[in-house]
Amino acid sequence: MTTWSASVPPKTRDEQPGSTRDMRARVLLAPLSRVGLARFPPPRPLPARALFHCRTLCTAPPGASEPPKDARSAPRPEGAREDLSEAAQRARLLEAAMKLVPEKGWTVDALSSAAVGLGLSPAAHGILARGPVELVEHFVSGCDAALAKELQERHEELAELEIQNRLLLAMQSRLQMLEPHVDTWSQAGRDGRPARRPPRTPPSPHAALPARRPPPKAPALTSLRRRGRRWRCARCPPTCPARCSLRTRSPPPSSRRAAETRTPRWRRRWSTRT
Amino acid sequence: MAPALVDPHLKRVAIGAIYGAAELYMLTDKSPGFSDTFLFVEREVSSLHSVAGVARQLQAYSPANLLMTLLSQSRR
Repeated sequence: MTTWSASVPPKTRDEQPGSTRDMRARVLLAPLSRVGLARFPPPRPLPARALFHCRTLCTAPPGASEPPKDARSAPRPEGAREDLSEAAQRARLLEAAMKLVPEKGWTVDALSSAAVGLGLSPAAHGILARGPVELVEHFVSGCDAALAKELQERHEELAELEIQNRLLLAMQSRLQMLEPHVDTWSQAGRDGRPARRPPRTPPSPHAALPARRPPPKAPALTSLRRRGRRWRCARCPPTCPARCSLRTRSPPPSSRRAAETRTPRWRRRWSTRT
Repeated sequence: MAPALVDPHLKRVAIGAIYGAAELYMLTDKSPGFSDTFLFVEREVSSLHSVAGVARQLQAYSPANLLMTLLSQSRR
């Protein structure tokens, strides 16, 4: 029975078991079934293999990762290398993110777009618990390893030089590794750290006191009239808290007597005093 | 022969300081091919070299050495 099901063409909607056409076919082909030419296999469940590629659904750009037709019969060339362990995933994610750093910087953005490029979920950067800091660490440790390897290779050449030139050469080669990331390297130190909180200061003793009432605003100098004993503007009520006559510009002294009243006695000139 | 600094840790610290300064210099370097940075490194390394030479010469002036030279001269 299993050998047969492999060669059965996919059934159309009308041939589903239970439909009228199916029943008709059963009746018509009943004599043949005794012969064994036509038998209707029971409906098969969806094979589990069809769900195999669901891992790569939705996130991969179209055509970016071609799902293998049959993983067993035609293994991908890198299939042997593909390792689903977490360390390998992290390494691959970091490598992919390093290529995106020049355009996106040392950010979570670079990590998530690298994850999308690998066919993972954009939230897959969560496997790097500390985010971009791990990217920076990966870069620095990779540079150090490359420098150590290079110095090891050029050992004979370096042994002839003075220590001063040896040091110079090593520093130059290390700085040259940094060159492709010069534009974004200044962020690298900053992004890793948690946002700096402003230092906590003890509350000011003035904060405990009740807020002082702001001084009342003097109304606009519209027209000053003499109301009662003071000069007031037209809008002021008779008991004006703003005391406009004190705060606003006083009217020009019209007469000598007015000048006398404004100037205190001890300041008056002799001429006016007499 | 290369002049030896007193302490190997001091060597590391000095080299690390120079490297860190060079990295910072590089971030603001606009010259083509980062030539200014490399000149900076060269300058700093040569000054470190001279400082290390001075440090080695200073050992000759340590009190113990001075005492030894005085004693040897007095014996003569």
